[in-house]
Amino acid sequence: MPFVNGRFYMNPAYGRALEAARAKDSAKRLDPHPFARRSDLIDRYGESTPANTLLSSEQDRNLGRQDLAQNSGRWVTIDGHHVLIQENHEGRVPYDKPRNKREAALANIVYNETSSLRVDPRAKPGDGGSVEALHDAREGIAEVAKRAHDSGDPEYVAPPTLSEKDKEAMHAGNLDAIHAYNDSLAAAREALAGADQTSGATQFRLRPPSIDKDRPISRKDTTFAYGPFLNTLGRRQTVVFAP
Amino acid sequence: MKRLSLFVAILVLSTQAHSGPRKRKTSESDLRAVVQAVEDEIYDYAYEKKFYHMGENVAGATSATRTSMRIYVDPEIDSTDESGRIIYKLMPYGEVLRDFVIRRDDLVVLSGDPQNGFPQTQESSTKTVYLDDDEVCRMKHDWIKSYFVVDDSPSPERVQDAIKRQKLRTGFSDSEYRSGHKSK
Repeated sequence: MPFVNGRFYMNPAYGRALEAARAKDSAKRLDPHPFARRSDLIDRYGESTPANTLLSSEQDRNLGRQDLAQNSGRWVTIDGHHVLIQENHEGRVPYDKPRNKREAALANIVYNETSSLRVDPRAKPGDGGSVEALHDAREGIAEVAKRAHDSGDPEYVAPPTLSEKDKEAMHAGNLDAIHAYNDSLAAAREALAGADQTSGATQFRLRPPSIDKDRPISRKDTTFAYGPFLNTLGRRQTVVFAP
Repeated sequence: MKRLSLFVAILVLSTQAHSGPRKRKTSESDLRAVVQAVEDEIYDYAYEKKFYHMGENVAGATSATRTSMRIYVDPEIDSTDESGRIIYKLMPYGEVLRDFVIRRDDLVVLSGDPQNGFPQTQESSTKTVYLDDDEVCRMKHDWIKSYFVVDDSPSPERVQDAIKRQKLRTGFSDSEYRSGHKSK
């Protein structure tokens, strides 16, 4: 019979395939958060990602703040598929796993240094606490960390391995952790490709408000700064660089 | 009219003068919450054995070692974000300076992840060896001197309490993570 689901098809095999695809698509439309399904998350972030990705960290919730990760994206429908547009990473492809050990080590350092930082939700593009500024800060940190390791002084920066706490956050699919890691990996790749936005800086600090952001680092005047960003405790942090 | 203008000018000036960080004195309950956070973290990460031969043993003759360690607490809390600072010895890392925040449920959350080793780049949670000696001496002189106690063999109940509060503070317990990985 050339009728499949009440529709006429000259080619029955083609008709069955098309109707099966339609049925699958309509099931997707009925799902309020299709992206939160495990299969979609695995497609995007890898096998170890459980389905509770949309949960913010316990700490953020207890501090009474809105989950920035949830606010950083919006759901749109393209060709019948629900897609989360991540405004924080507009134009950037989500990164997969590091391609080699050097990339992994540098990404881990940048992550360890900056995973507590959050974009200031009130910051506009180009502001000190914006998404762009946070990425630039990470890239600068990646450059300094690369120089420290290349010159045999890895102790100047955070360790090149992730702590159990951070591994657990990534494993649990915490979006803040994943965003921070992806951005750290992107920064590491730029530094390894030879980026030098810090003009050869060899030092940086994450500064709380209790310390003057212009205070020299090891007796060298700071040359530029990014931020202030908010950290997971809700405190302001500025990333400052020096030669 | 002139008097009114003068009054308004004085009012504006006095408001501007107080636009800096608002401070309040560190209270006894703040101190207790800070000490609890420090001790909980030590038990959750199982650092208690690292305090061997440190500080003063305050245990009775028949009980296991209990080490009393000094902690220095900034006498002022920044009331804009309920934050403060402490200096203490966290073994095996050594002496550290850490920021903390007092949450609305009165739990204190310490800045930094111990497993990152308190690098010099993190000025909210760093080893004091990276700081200016004179400044560290000044802080220790001016700040509130208190104590925390590390039990060499904490009871399972004490460790469970620490785990529970650590999860409330940071959403993570190192002790649970380790026991989960052992059982796999």
